[in-house]
Amino acid sequence: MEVKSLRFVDLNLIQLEKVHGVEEAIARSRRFRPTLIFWRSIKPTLTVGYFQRVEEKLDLKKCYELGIKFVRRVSGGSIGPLDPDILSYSIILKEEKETMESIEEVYTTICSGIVLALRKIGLNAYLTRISDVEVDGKKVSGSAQARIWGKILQHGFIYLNLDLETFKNLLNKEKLKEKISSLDERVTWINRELLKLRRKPLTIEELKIYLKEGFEEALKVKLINGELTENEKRKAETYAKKFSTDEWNFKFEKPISFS
Amino acid sequence: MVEEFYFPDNLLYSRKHVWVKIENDEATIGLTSLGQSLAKGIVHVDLPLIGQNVKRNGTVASFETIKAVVKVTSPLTGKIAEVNEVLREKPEKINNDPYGEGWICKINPTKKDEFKKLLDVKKAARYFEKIIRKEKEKYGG
Repeated sequence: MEVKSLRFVDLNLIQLEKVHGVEEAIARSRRFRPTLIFWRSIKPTLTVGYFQRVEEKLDLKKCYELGIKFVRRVSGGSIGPLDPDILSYSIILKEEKETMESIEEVYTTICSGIVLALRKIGLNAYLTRISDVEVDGKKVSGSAQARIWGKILQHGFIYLNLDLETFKNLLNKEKLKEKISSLDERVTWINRELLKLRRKPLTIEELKIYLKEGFEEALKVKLINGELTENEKRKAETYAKKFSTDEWNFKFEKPISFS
Repeated sequence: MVEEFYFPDNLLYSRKHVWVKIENDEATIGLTSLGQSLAKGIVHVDLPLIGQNVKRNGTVASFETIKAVVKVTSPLTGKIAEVNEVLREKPEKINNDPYGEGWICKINPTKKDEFKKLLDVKKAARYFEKIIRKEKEKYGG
């Protein structure tokens, strides 16, 4: 996988539907530029893998009661929490025309950037299960990929801090009893691990610096600070609309209303 | 055969790893053996709706494999006539039997001049042989 140049855009705090609109606008742009985006969900939201059935995985009534919505993404994988304490990234690259570039190779290359960042922070991080990054046996980062619009879209999260109890509360307790009970053993976050090492907690801005360095090293490219073009911003608004609809978010089920 | 990948003589092919079988006014499509090999284990499939219009080079279906969602590109413009419902419960059929029970959908093509853009087995073999050789060079065999 060769990346010759990479635009870097920091969207900071943003609604999940809008980020997905931005991803699509960049990927479908006629003047496509490979881009890395950093972003954080402006409020607690659940991100749902494309093929997930929300009724099976979520306690939809609890989500409604707590005012936490979910948004289906175009990539695979399962369901996860997003909020302002979780740094997310999206990277959009051109797919080599003639081949379907190895999914694993792309995951390894990009996720190694996250591994490098966490090691620079002083954590014992490594890549596992193709797209998860763990620290001492617990997941601190996950990523998902889509091959779409002739592009490779990979996005993921890194837990700086994590409200695990609220997330567990939103899952379908009947169908996911074992998974929920094992989450405490399987998941961690950066500042929890730093606390164990008696190190001071990291801020989001500090994490961004490490992650940028990690991605530059992993992708062997210098990031070029940039902004979305006017065209990309306009298209992003249009593409974002579908991510707010029940038709999209309940794609494989009938929508449920609690109002 | 191209290396270890099978390409039946009686089919046509697109450059996006899709095979096409044209019978009467209907085109059945699926992933080639090379396509499913690149995809690895398919765990979910999203099929089009019957009656849906599709455009050549537009997305006709998508599937999930090792946590990546991959779009299947339609080789022809037309209307979806039938989908392989079995794939909803058994998506692995695309990997296990790509030219048989792993067919994805049937299209009633509306632009018959697009047939000329498909590759016959000889042209497909030459095209995919180059790709396979390139991949082997890249990954050292």
